[in-house]
Parts: sequence; structure tokens; C-alpha cells
Amino acid sequence: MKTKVLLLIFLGIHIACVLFVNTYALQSLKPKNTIGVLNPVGAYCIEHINLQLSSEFIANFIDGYTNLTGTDRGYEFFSPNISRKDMNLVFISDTGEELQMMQSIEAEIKTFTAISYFNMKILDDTDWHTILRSICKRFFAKYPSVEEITVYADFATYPAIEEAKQCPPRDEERILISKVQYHDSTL
Amino acid sequence: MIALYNRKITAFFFEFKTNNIALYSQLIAGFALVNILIIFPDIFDLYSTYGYVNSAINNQFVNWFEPSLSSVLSWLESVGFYKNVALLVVIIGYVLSLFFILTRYQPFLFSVIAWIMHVMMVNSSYYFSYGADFFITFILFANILFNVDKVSLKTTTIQTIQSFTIRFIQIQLCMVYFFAGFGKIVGIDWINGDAIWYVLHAFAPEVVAQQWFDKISIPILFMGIAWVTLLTELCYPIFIFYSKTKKITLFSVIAMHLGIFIFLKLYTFAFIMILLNIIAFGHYLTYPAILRKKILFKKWSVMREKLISTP
Repeated sequence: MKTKVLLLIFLGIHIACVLFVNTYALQSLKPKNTIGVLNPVGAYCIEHINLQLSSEFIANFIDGYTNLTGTDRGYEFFSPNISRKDMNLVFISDTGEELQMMQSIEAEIKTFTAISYFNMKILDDTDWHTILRSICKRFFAKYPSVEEITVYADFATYPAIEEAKQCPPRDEERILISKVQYHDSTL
Repeated sequence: MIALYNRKITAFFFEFKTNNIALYSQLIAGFALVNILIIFPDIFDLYSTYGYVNSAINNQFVNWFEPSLSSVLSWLESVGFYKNVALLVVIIGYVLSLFFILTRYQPFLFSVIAWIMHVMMVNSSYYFSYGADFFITFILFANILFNVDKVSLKTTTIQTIQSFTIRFIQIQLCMVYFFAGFGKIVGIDWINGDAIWYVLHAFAPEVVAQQWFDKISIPILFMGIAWVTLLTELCYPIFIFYSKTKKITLFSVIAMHLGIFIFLKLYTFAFIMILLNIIAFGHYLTYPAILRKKILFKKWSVMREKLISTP
């Protein structure tokens, strides 16, 4: 009986933590915070979510518990909308070679995930350049003959669904982000 | 009334038949093993203190009380291991733990070790970790509960915990799909079908370049796929338990993940979600299992008779 009660208490805590994390994630979709657009019913629902935690202890507990159980990032995959615009970072060495970040089967999705996070940092110049320097430092370690890396951002805009039958090409643009030299990356 | 209520709760959570627990535990360990071997070429880029995102940047996202590799690696380096060797030691420890679970050698102990090591790896690669990594953490956590039979507990307590673990995974899946569906339905792209179009552009540009796209009514097709996805996810918590819809819901959700596997190429994510669904609701698929057993038994019987009759 004691085991059953303990298990049910554990389940209650787990459900409460997961509900909190996901409701909090939904709250961040409020129109003023999101780049996407919500439909009227969705906007009404999201607008009425008002979740706040005053206790730092409980916040830390939820952080810690959900981190240990892999439930800390929420499940709002590809929500609420999907951007028509895509950005990819391209690293070109001073010899003109395009440097690939990773090689495994998972490389593409892991790089995609990381670049999605980097996009959020793009407005913060200090953070952005710290990350770029860190990435380039790794490249310099992997390719000792490279002394300068030019970083470009490839922007693509997908055609709208109505234009699908005409099969128009993507609207693509390459913008120079930064040139990182070997000694810069070691700063 | 309260007694009846208690009886129902007890029956639901603690009296679920758990026949395949060792097999599930081995499937989990096998899957995690394949996953780490798949990403092995990139482990130094992902988890090393000097990876693409170095530990100083990464640790901004990790609370002091959350385990991460950087402290373990620093300690290993302080006792004389080279930085890359230190990471290899940790990875080999993780691989061996999974191997021991697979071979059923001290599975409880190694489930705990594998889980904590995976949490450390995910925390040391904040920017590069995505859904699949978090679901692996979750399933490795559940795997600890699956292996309580190797701890000195009463048989009834073991059955209680293992039954609870299956229900725990089922409830977790219900929350996962509900929030995945709810997040989508508040927007616009999933309602008009544009989401499928953009997702294909992002993950499978070679598919949208195919000629057959000219010949079909794309907006209606994509709207249909988007709505099936929305309904499958949002209604999953109800339909997966309702006798008339549970099988079709399970098949729909597995089909959705197969679509993710084929078109979006999110191999690990698709596999872990299918595995979670099979562990949680695989008992709905009893008929094919029985059929398979009968066929195998027949084949074995024929073979045995031939062997016996051979002079």
C-alpha cells in the first residue's frame, strides 16, 4: 500500500511539472512575444494563460526534475506556425572550402536545432560573436591549415502554397556575417 | 463509492499485465546504444569542453544542480587524462552500461548509470540537443523502474512498480501528443495546411521538387495531412484508451512517425516515438504477435520433424 501511495504521489508531481512546463511554453506564444500569428480562438486561449511562479525553490525543483526526466523543453514542436523563411550558416575557409560542422546521420537535424537557437541570439551582438568565435575555434582545431573563416548566412524564402503548381524556385540570398581569424577565435 | 474508486485506480495503475518488461528494457538499451554509435563521429564536436559551443557558453543554460559533463571531464583531466581521452572514457562508460543492460547483467545499476550519463551528455550539448535526445532521457529514466526486479523487493512490489511504469509512459505520451497538437491548433499554418508545405521545404526539398506535385490538388492534400496530424495528436489521450478507436489511433500515430522518418529524415526522433508507443500500447497489437508465434511454431515443428526423420 505504501509503495502504491508513493508511486501515485510521484505521478502527481510528474504530471504537475510537465503541465507547468508546457503551459508556460504556450504562454510564450502570446502575440506580443511570437513572430507567428495566432488564429482568433487560439489567441483567446493563449491570452488567458497567466502562469507565474513566485517561489524560487519550486521553480528550481521543476527545472531540476524536468531536466532529469527529459521533459524540460515542452512539446510544442513546429508550433504555432512554421516560418516561410529559413536561415543556414555557411563557413568558408581561406582556401575556399566549405567546412561542414558534423558528419553523422544526425548532423543535419542537430545543426538545424543549433542554428535555430543561434537565430534567437542574432540580435545580441556580444552573444552572437561569442558563439561564432567558439564555433570557429573548433574549426581551427580540426583544420590546422585554415587561418581565416568567412561566415555567411544563407537566407531562403519558400514559395507560398498557392504558387506550388508553378514550381517556382526558392528566393535565396547570401549575406556576409563575419570573418574570423585564427587569433580572434582564441580571444 | 470511495472503495470502488480506489479499486479502479489500483486496477488501472498497479495490475496491468507486464509480460515483456525485460524485452522492453533491452529494446531501450539497444536503441540508446545505436543512437550513441550513430552520433559517435561527432561526439567531440558535441560534448567536448572545446566543442563547437564550448562549455563556458553551454553552462549558461545549465543550473548548478543539473549534472553536466564539464565537471566530470575537468576531474578526469585533473587526474591525468588528456581532454579527448577523458571524454572517450565517459562515452565508453555509457556504451558499456547500455551493453550490460542489453545482456541483463546488473540491469538496475547500469540503468541508473546510463540514465545519469545521458542527462550529462544532453546538458553538455544544450544548443545541439533536440526532441529525440530528451525522449531518450525520459525512456532511460523509465528503464530504471523497469529493472526494479533485480533489486531485493517483494514480487508483488516489483509487479506494482512495473505495471505503474507502463501507465506512467502512457500518461506521458498523452501529455506529449496533447500539447504538440494544442501548440499547432492555436496557429494558422496547421489549419490551412501550409505547415506541411513549409516543413517539406525545410527538411525535404528534394520531395517538393518532384514532378508529381503538379498533378495533385496540393492545398487540399496538405490541409488533409495537417488536419489528420492535428486530430491524431489532440485526441490521442482519449482515443488511445477508447476500445473502438485505440487500434486506429496507435496505427495513425505510428504512421505519422514513419512519415517523419521518411520525409523529414528525423530518424532517431521517429524511432524513439514508435518505440515509446509500442512499449506503452503494444499490447493492442496482440493478434499479429499470436500469428507470428503460430507461424514460427509451425515452421519449427516442420523443421524438427524433418530433422528427426532424417536418418
